[in-house]
Amino acid sequence: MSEKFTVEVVTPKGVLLQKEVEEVVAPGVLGEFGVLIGHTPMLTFIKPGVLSYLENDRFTKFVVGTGFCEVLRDSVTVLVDEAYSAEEIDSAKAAQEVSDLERDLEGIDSATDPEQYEKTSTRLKVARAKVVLKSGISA
Amino acid sequence: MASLRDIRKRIASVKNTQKITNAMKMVAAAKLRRAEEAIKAGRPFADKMRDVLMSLASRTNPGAHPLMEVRPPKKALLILVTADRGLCGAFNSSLVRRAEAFIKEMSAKNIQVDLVTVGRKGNDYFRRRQVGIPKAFSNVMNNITYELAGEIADAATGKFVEAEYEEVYVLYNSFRTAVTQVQILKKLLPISREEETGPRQTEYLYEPSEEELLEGILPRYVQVQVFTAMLDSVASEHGARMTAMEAATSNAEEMIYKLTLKANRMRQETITTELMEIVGGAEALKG
Repeated sequence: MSEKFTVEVVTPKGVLLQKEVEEVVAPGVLGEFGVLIGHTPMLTFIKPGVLSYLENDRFTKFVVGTGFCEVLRDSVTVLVDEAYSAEEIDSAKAAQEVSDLERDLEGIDSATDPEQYEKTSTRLKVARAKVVLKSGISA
Repeated sequence: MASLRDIRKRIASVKNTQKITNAMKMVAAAKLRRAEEAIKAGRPFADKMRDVLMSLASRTNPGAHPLMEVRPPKKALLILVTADRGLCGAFNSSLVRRAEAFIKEMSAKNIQVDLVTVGRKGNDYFRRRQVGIPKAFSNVMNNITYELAGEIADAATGKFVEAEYEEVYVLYNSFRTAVTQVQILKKLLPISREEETGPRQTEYLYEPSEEELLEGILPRYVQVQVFTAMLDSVASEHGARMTAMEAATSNAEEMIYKLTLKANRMRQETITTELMEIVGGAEALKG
């Protein structure tokens, strides 16, 4: 068993997670990255996706929105706009959200309203991550 | 001269008002508790964000980002966070007065101030006056979200980057305790690095580059600042309303006491007069 370090997931609504874990896998903008203890200090962006951490040989998953992540030698802090644990997510609702947002996105012209397009697409990515996480767990 | 019936009516009406103020006080107290929790929950995020930003900013050269660019001010934007509703003591009025003083102060320096109002009360006051309000957010304080703060922040940063304004300020009531609020006037843009809390030792690996990270984090930082300002304002509003309604309730109590005394005295007086009349009548018959 490897040594443990602290992982924190913080959103504007509060500290969602604070735990001693063995490994963290996070969705960075330049690709997914894994962190073990003693990682070089690093600062990077997080894109919407699934974040997981290893504790007692079991992976627990989270859905995170956009934000960034600070890695230090003995801690990982993830600052994101939103985050959801697996228990919080309702698969039916998430699936509905995806189809709703997909339709919304169709209706927005990315040339005339890039901001709205960007926002909706971010929300869609979060919703898709929820679905992925749910299907991964039930499978 | 008010008749006995009038006074009784008055007492009944004051009693009803007292019920309302008392209920409002209790509602405010409950909401205050929730608002306080929201502040506490939001604090770690804001603190951490600031830490990271400051350590990033100290590594990049000034003016590296449009949001940090200092220009000689000609026009400034003030984000004024008030409440949507009244009946909370001097909460709104003192804030509005402070805003007016600020506008005057700036115009003495030949800086024109425009407002972005958050909350209905600020907009109500300034829309009839000679102040530009490019954007107003009304009836939003009931449900403040991080996204909404983002909208407000975007409105301000957009105009700042387009060089329409050279400075952006935010004015709000900050929550201290349930009975005290402190007005806070903060410069939001350009983001300065003065408040730096000493250099951090850690050397980071940046992914992508430092500049790109800074560019992504700065707008978020503004958003967080607006968000905390709004959270603070909401908590202060409920605190102020609670105090105001508490005072109103006890004033009503006092009024009821005085009116009841008056009513009793009047009742006694009529009885006495009637008695005198009867006695007088009896005496007259005897004679």
